[in-house]
This record gives sequence, structure tokens and C-alpha cells, in this order.
Amino acid sequence: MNRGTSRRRGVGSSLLVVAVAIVAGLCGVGVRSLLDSSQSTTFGGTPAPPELEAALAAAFPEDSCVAATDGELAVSEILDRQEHADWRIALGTGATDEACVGALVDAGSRRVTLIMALSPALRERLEILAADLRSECHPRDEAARLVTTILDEMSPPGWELRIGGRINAPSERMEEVLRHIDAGCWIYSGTGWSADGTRLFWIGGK
Amino acid sequence: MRKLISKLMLAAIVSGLLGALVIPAAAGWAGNNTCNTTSGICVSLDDNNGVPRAVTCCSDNTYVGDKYFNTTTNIDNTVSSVRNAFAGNDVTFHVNTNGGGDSFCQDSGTQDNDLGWFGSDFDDKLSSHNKSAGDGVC
Repeated sequence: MNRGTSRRRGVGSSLLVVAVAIVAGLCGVGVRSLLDSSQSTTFGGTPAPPELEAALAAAFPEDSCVAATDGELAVSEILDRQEHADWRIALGTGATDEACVGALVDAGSRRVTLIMALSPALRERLEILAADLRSECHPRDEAARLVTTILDEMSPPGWELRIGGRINAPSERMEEVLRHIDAGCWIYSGTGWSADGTRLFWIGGK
Repeated sequence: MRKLISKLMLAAIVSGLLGALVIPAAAGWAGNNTCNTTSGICVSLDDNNGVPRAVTCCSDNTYVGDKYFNTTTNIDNTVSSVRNAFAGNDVTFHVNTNGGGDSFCQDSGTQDNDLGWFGSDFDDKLSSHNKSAGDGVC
């Protein structure tokens, strides 16, 4: 009789230990989840469907100038063909028929945005100049003159050259470029646009 | 009774630790911290593309709510250096959400080590970015 009671008490206490262990374990997971949710969120959106990205890249090749109207038509046909009925096309900054456009893909918003792009000829000239300015040493005014000469000749009007502000270079050459700049040389640092649609170009140095 | 209480305490401590440390959390980090790959868009809180850092595969129309990897630091309006590690895609960075405001184009395979270099318009101001289809924007 006493042994039976004792055994039942033993089983009961074992069950209690297991129950406490499960509850405590769940509490631990909860604490971990709370910590994680306070420290991290997803950065970036949803990857675009690869076949969509590939078709868009083919429609806006690096060596061709696609105007906005043609670009819009091409994107529309791709979206129809691939049955992305819930995607839309947006005209972004500088997307006109007077300029070349490229396509930005945002799968999170299900949107393809056409945006101003450099013409293939201007991009090629600037890439050559950028390489020259990384290998030869030109002071600020000389670098500005070299960029301005190309833009006067090849860029649509209304551009603006900004002195300083960005040091942009191929990743594998950045250390070398920083030493170049320390020596007083200036580089071509890329392009962009202001909120009002003005095409911007940068040179960097110090 | 004392033995039972000790067992309960031990079970609670061990299980709590196991739950917190060993069992994977249900909601975890979806990005990573690696910026030396051949594909990815990296943003860093400080100059020179160091850590704290966040890396993604694709466009992000708002940085609001985003944090650097394993930190509680907001990405929105705090980025000081960026890298586009894609070999065949340009990336545009924007001062406003949804691709608006002043913007710059990061050519494939390039980086900006210091957006605050001599009074940039972009240091601690970025709020979104977009990945291009192909390499023909910058």
C-alpha cells in the first residue's frame, strides 16, 4: 500500500518535472523570438522572377538606346507574355522619348520602373575617361574640364557636374583609388539625378 | 520534497537554455552579413563598407523598419557607404522611399566608400534602392 502510493507519487513528480521542462523550453523559445524580432527585419524585397528579369535585361541591352515609349511597349509585352497581370509599369525620373531609359525591377511592389539611362556612346566614353583618371593623375580643374568636354559633346543639355561628394570605384580597385586621391588626383565618380530630374555627374578627390 | 524542487529548478533552467539557444527561432533574419560575394547590394552604417552592414538580393522600396544585420540600428537615413556586388546589374539609391528624391546610380561591381566625402547629398539620407534589369542604366 505504501509502496503503491510512493510509486504513484514518483510518477506524478516525474510528470511534473517533464511539464516544467516543456513550459520552460517554450519560454526560452519565446525569449529568443522576442530578441530576434527586435534585432532584425528583412532588408530588401522579394526576388523578381528570374525569367522576368532576364527578359527585361534582353529588352534593355547595354549597347542600345531604348526610348520611353518603346520601352513601355516592350515591358508591357513581356508582362503579358509571362502572365504577370498584377504587375504595373511606372515612368520614373527622366523617362522620356528624348532620352534612353533602363528598367528597374521591384518585385515587392510588382512594378517595373523606366528610368533615365546613359546612352551607350556616352557610357563608353565616360568608362574610358574613368579608367584614364584612375591611372593618370589629374588635379580637380583638369578632371572637371575633361568630363565637361565629353558631356558638352555627348550628353543631352541640362546636366550638372558636382565637385566632390562621392568616391566611386570598382570594388577591387578601391584601395588603389584612395591612394591615388591621397596623392591629389581626381576621379570620375559616376552619375545620378536630382529630385527635379536634372542629370548629375560627379568627380571625386580632395 | 526538497529533492523534487531541485529537480524542477534544474529542468526549468536546462530547458529554458535549450529553448533560447539551441532550438531555432521561428522568425529569424532573412538577410545576411556577407558583402564580398559576386551578387548582392550592401549598405553600411559607417564608411568603408564595414559592419554594421546589411545585404540584400533585390530592390527595397523603403528602408523604414529595416535594421543592420544583428543590430537594433535603423538603416533608414543612416547609410554611409554602399556596394553593388552584382556583375550584371546596376543599382540606384534614393533619398526618398519608392525611388524618389535625389538619386545616384551604382554601376555593377563598384562601391562608394564614403558618401559623406566633402559634403555629399547622400550621407545618412538614403531611404530606398532599386536593382536594374541588366547593366545599362549607369
